[in-house]
Amino acid sequence: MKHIDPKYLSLIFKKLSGQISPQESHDLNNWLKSDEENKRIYSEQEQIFNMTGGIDKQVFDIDVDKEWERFQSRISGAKVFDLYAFVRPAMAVAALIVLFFAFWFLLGPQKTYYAKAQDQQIVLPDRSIVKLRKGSRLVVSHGFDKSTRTVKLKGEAYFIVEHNINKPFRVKANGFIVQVMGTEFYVSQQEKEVFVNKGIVKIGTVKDEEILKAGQSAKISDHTIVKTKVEDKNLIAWATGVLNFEDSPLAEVFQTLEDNYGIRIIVENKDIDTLTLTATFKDKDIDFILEVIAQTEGFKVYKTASKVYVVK
Amino acid sequence: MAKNIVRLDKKSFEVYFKQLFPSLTYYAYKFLKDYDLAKDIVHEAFVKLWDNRKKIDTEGKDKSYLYRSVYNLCLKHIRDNKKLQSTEDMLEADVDPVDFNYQVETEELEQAIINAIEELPPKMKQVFILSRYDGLKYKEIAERLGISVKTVEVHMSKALKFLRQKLQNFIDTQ
Repeated sequence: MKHIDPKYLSLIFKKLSGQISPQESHDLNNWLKSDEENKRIYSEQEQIFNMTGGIDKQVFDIDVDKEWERFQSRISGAKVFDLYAFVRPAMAVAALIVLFFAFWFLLGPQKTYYAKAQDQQIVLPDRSIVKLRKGSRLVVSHGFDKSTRTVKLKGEAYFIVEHNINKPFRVKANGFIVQVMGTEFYVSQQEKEVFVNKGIVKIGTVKDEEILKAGQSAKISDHTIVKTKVEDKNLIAWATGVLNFEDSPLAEVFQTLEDNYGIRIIVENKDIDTLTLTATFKDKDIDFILEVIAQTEGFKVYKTASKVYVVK
Repeated sequence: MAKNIVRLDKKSFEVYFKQLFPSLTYYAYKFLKDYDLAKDIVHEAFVKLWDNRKKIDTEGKDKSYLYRSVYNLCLKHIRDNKKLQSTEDMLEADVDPVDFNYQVETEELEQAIINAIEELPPKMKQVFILSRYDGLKYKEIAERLGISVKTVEVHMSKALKFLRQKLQNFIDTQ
């Protein structure tokens, strides 16, 4: 192959990609005219240029070093097999290590969900649904749905668990575990609180165990599980969309509405505070709810600004 | 490049793996239209080859062996996932499972191009890709990489020379 002045190779490429300046173009043309061989080189480079154009660029973004590392981790079992021939006594230890890593790999964290700014609904591989409260995290282990269905919760969440008697569904929340077969329940990891909406769940800590039925709740303190009366069913309204009031003082009702809808209610008529409300709302917007309450109780509601309501 | 991958030690296998990974992924991508999936399939093919390296003899045709393996895994994936209502329709429309050799031949040029670019020394490769695929001007490449325009030109011309040598067989020399 004839030696080519690298300058012209670069110029050819510039011309083909439309970057050539008039002066460079002039130089290139002179060079092409000076030798038939140069024309051939030009034609070859043009072919290279056209060939390379057809490839999807993404393929060059592949990080082969990273892929090789990934490959090595996948064949780690094979590495131990090679050891066997040379280091028989080490075999048991090596196997244990591999088992440990395999176990870790199976059960170790795989996917983390983080409901950063707003509530998030997650559908797990077993079709169970998790409504994750904003600010909360859920870790779904790698081996989820293999023999058990285990998730780890930081924060609070509402679970609607697909029924499967063979694969218990477990929620780990530091210091206690909630286990179910298929039901709906709420877990708050910070408050160490569990509330069962449907079905039955089992709660366990290192030294205590308790069964909760629908409508029951419990708090965990110092590894002891204490059954409590559900103080506020509306705790899970954000997940179920159901608000339920039974003879509730209006002050409490307004507080609940403020919490759930992120609004502000200003009460200008103090008499209203003595009233109580019994009602259930499902998936209703705040304007509708306030209007219904106003009509039932005989007062007026005005929207004065975005998210601010005045009661008279 | 060593001829018989099944006789390779880990170190040589690594070289082989790194050289072939992108082009195999591109090959799988053409069937699957998803790079992550394509990479997984290529991994699977390599793992299979590694696991069976003592049992099989590719008779020096490791490349064909890997391509065939990737091809089969892609088909299996498509079949298992039944993305189209009738898999048979898709197989007939898209690829002809019988004439595998033809398939390889038509892909050969693209594979050769990818391999050639992958074989470029790192800096040259970077410059070439920024120019050819990102459409950057020499000056822009120089700024981005913190080198002189002159150096960019040297890298480019060397890369082009290298590619011409590597792809000699595919060039029509008149």
